[in-house]
Amino acid sequence: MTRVARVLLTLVATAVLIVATITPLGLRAQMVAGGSVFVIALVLRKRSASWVSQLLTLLSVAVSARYIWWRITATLDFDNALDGAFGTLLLLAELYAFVILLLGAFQTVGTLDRRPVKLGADRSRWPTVDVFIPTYNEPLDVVRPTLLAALSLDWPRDKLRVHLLDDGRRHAFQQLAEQANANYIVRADNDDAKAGNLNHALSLTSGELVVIFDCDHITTRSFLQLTVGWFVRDPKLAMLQTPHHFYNADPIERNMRLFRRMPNEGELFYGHVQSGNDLWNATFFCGSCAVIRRSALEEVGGIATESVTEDALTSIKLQRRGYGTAYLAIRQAGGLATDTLAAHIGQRVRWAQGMTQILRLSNPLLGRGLTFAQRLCYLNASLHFLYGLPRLVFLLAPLAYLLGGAHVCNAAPAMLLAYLLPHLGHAFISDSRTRSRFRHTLWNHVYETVLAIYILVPTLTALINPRASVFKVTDKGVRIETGGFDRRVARPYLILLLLSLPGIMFAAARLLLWDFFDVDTVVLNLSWLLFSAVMLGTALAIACETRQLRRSHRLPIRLPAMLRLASGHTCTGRTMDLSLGGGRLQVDGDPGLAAGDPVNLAIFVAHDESWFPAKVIASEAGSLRLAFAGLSLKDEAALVELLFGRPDAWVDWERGRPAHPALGSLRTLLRESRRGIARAAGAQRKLFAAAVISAVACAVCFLLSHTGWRLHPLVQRVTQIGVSVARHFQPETELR
Amino acid sequence: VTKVAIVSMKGGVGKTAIVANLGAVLARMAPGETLLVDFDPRNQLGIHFGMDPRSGVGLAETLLVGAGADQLIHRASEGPDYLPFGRVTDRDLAELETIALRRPDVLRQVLGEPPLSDYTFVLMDSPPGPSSLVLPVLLAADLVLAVFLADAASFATLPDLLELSQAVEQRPHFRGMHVLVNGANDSTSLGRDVRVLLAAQKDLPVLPLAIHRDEAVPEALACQRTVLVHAPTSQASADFRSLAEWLRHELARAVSAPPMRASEAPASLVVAAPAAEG
Repeated sequence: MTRVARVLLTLVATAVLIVATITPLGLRAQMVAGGSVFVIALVLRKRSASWVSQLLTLLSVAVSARYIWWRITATLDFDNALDGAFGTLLLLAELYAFVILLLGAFQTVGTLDRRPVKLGADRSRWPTVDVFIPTYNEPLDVVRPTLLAALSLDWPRDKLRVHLLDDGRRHAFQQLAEQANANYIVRADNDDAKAGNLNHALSLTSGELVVIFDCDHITTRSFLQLTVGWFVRDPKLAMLQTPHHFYNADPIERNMRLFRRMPNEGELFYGHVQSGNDLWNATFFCGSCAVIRRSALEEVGGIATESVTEDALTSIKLQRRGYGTAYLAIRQAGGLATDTLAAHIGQRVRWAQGMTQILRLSNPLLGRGLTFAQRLCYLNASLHFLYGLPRLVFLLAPLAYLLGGAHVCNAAPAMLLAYLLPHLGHAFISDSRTRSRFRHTLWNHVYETVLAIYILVPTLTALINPRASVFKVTDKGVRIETGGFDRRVARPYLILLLLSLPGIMFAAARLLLWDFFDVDTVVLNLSWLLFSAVMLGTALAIACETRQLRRSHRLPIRLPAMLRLASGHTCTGRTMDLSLGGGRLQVDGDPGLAAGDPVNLAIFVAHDESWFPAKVIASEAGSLRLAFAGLSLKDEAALVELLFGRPDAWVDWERGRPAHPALGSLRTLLRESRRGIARAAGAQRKLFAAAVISAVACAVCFLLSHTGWRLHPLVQRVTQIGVSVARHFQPETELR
Repeated sequence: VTKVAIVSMKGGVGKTAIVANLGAVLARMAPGETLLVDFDPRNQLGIHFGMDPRSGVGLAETLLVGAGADQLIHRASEGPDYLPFGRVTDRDLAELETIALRRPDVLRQVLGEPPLSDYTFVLMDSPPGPSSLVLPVLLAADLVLAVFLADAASFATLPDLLELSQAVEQRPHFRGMHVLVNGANDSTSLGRDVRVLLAAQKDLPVLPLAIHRDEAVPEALACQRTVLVHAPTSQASADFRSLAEWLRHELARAVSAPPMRASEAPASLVVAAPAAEG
């Protein structure tokens, strides 16, 4: 196709889209148009070609644009100030969601699925590498395996240095570094937290490449072999990011008992969004599991210190200088997800704060050096965290009508549905088509509901005063000894849920006065409110912390093994699971072991064997539980390599996940929200009782105020309903 | 018929136990097709199968007076058939050694005739080298397993073994000499180091498996049965099974021509003194 033809085609297509967006239609015409396009989408989604995904995304954008256009041009004729205030708020929230939809569609219109580049055979030309492991207050047993794994990286010994950057200045860490033959670096102050720590180390070292692992990210041996090739091939490449993979359940997965049964919160970003960013040369640095070219980093003054998400800001700075960034979607390190919901929220609040700071301090739309596409990708990354207020508006909007009688959208319910349903339906279809592998449908609402109220204030303050925020270290490796409902964290969800209670009662009251209010509007708002209640209920279920006592996480690693007993006898077997602390072994025959017996455990990987001294913890028929006892540092390094170091350690992580039907999440969310509400009600009985009683009282007052404070008409209506319901069921009873 | 020799340059490394236990696995895989031949004057292979080592006639008789091998083979309903060395006097032994020196391929000739040539697998036990009786075993073999213990004394015999291997490797269809570690114990640093050293040398290929140190092996002998029967779930049993698998796999492979080294001929090897080990 010639260039001219292309431009012409683009112009025609754009014109068609614009016309399709702005042409006003009557109710019937809109229903027919919306319905037929939706049917086309339903038919298309059965086909597997990749252009179908793009077409579905385009349809979704077009239909949503039409909805938004209609909302702006035809629904803002408000009767009074109250309607106007609520209506504008809702429209702004919808506009925000539309912008995010647009940016997201652009960001992931295609993905660059980068493969590793092979290194040349001549090792003398491989770059020298400094590995930085920054730590501040994390426990030693979190950092140990990380350090040992980094020291076992497959790389020429004279070209690899591993540095432990200890801002906690702890003696035990220094000892560990000395024993393990790593370099130990401390500094006089803790200025600029992690960024400052890294910059200090940068000034003391000289390797051509810098690799950063958070102190819980245990690398595989192959990390450098797979990543460095790109730096040799492309001299303008400044940063290569690999996924952050977590081998333990994050609080959401754990408390929902869905660990490894569905994609976790990070997978959409690391599975899909970053690959999309990579297509636009807009991959951003995520602080860990990444390689950076020192010369480029020094050119921008080291790791950025102006934002609490120093990583993303650093990559913007690098890209403004014309450097490239890359994303390699191969999990090459395993890390620890936060243990408690509170910590999980804290970490995301920091991200939200930092990304908002970037919006003010280094706005990707402004300034020099970025391509248009890069600006849009970074803009989405920053704007995306401003969902706090819009989400709250969406959760509570139906209350404006149900409680206050405000008409937030001046349109007949049927008309609203004719525009709204295609908008929601197409978004759902294109989302489930392109993203459900990385995030199950509807889960986006759950994640945002959990965080919305928490990120609201931090993002707003960061918008107003971007230099005020303080870096907070994310807690990792904490045991939750007393499980149960975390009242403190759950309070906002509970309050929002209790607020929707009177909404439901008022909806019932309004339905009882069916000739007084518009039943369609009431039903519409009530369904919306119930959807919000399901989201809030799910958030409550997530706030029910499950007990977690294990310090080291078990990995389901199955390898041939043998035991050597103190007597010199042996027994063959297989490992069932392993952790840094011990493991479970399926044994052939009966070795005649009892709890407390010392054994030597050998584990075979291909033709290599590693030996670990251990003690029997429990012996059952055909299986043993062992705890490692008296491991030397060398043994420990071998164990870390066995558990985390294998190049294929995380390759099959998704295997065995149940299939995800398009509406499958709905059932899970309904079940979980029921559980969450029941748990919350159990934990806060008095509060719940008070809320129900006052909601009912208010609703009754509301009813009486419409009947001139007479009870009789109400009783009459209730009887009327009772009679018609009874009539409705009568034929059935006769049949029996 | 494929003949496999188990050799070592040092006594007490467990050759005989390997022949017996490996033979037991092979016999289970292919009943009636495996023959174990004891070519060690100590005549101890039979102990593993309940024979009294002080009694019995065997291969020595064939070599000395030309007795038919057919009657000398011990056949069991279960387990491999085996041909003991037979009990010999010092004088007989000296004569056998002279025969071996004069005609190093004497064993190959004997094994080339029926009924010995009717078996699919022949496993040969050998006296610890250096001994004039080692070379006949090597020359009769299609494949040689050189047994090492994971210790210094055993490792020190590597040069001698290399010399021996160079003497036999140019034969056509020879599948080479492979290092097999017996009594492997990687839980000690010495055990690990010796295995690393063995793996690092480039002259002889090292088997991708080892027979682990296991109390069940001597215990099985004390009970006059094979490890496979005595302790089926022991690592040693598993190792012997893997060894048999490896052997079958290796033997099933098409033979690629061994690298020829023209300068060295089998004749260059002269075995000096008979073994004085008991």
